[in-house]
Amino acid sequence: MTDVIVKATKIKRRAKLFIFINKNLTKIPTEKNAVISDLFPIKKGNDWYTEFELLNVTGLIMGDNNESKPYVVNFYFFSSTGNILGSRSVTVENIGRKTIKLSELMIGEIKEAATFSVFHPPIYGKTDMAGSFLAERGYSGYEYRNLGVKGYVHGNLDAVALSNSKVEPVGNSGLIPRYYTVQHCLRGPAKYEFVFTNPTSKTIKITPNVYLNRKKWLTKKSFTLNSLGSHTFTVDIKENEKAYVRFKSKLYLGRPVVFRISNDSMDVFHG
Amino acid sequence: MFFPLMKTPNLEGFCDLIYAGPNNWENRVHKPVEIYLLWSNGENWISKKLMEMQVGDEARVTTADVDKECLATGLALIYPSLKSLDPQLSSLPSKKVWYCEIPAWRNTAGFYNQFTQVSYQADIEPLPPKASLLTFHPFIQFGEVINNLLVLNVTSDPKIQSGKISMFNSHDKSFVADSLISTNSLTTIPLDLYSFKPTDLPIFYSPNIAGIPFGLGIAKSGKMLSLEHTHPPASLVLHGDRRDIQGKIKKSWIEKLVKA
Repeated sequence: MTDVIVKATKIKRRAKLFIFINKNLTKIPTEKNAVISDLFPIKKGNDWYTEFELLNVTGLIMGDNNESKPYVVNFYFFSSTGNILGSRSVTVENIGRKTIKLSELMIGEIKEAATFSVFHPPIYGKTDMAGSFLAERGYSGYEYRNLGVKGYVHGNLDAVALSNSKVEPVGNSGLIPRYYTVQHCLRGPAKYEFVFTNPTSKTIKITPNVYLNRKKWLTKKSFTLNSLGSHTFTVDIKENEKAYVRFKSKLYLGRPVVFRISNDSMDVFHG
Repeated sequence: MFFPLMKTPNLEGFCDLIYAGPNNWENRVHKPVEIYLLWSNGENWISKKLMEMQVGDEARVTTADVDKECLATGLALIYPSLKSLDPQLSSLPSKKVWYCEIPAWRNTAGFYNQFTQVSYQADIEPLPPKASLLTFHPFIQFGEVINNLLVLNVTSDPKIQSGKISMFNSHDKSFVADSLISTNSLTTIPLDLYSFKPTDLPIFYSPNIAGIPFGLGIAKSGKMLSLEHTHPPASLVLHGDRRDIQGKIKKSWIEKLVKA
């Protein structure tokens, strides 16, 4: 009898997986020499500074980040509607870590960028990658109101591949919408900002639901994200209030980066 | 699946529990659960029931709420159970109650002080009793900030064993210092005494004990906290045989660091 139940449970799980996650979470890039990056949110305005901790990822994979040749990395900048606004090359001198101040790169046509990706030189051919692709998964650092200490968060979704100067979204989405409940109880007083990026090649509709003070789920106004676009959904929670938030979409992993702003300080984490 | 309640000097820890899975199609558990606090005394896991939770409930557990003896190692675990647990356990319970895979069922753990808090989406499964750790640490900040490395380890076996963790400068492979980390513990290692520069990328290598490493930054004013985990080497690549690549990356670095 136990065997029957175990078998039935396995079949049920496989059926659910086929319905909800019938492809890899991330597509394999078309070109073998592609490199992959997350889409990292940029916080702008008088209160915010965004930085990025740039490392010699090729060197870290090869087992030696002491490079005599210049190591050039390309930052690609995207608008909130997913358009590429431009790119900037950054040379990592022969050092372990270079902290990039985004505001120093974001001039001219990329001033209004909402997200960025970081593409390292192709590693294909330099070492046996066992079918893998180099991936930049971050860390972005965010400083709020000159507090002097950054909150770090890694990239949330493997989003974009670059090969031969061509950008390719690599996130997958499903056929039917599903909920993602942020694994965090919202506590006031605080302003919460949920930053979504769309790693897929499709336009994605996201519907937020908020469950405030144990009453009922309230459906908020939906928003759409173009391919490689981004959007920030904001919730204000008053003192002594608590809430959950969930998002309905076809994204396999509809996880936002979460900023919690409270008492002149902030907290950032991947949701 | 366990959720950590962590204590580090000068900060209190918290774990915010919500009985709501991350998605609406995997593990649809709806039964009431008993929430236990588990901690190791070096010989057994000691269990203490904290509360019961129904679907939709939330609860905050803090290090200020529990006895100091529960946090002697800097770590206690929160475990939702469908049945009552014995007061002493020879190994951690294996039944995964709050468990999903895509995405993982997590809760929010972190630290707080009188001014602010810092959060981390946390879940932890027991690590192998014998495993190694190699990680790069890009989180050291400069100015009016205190920098620590935290290493979180949980094994099913309640024994508390210590092992060496060595610190190197990745660029010239120079040895910086040794420290100790322990199983079933949260180990706090102050980093400011090593005078790292903003262009340095430290590497940490532990030959015998694995763990989840975090960078913890504390503003000297207390008004900002920073917490993020470092990546394992496999995170430098995507697709293919990532385990194979991770093995190669570790081997390559360890060969050079051991010679240093």
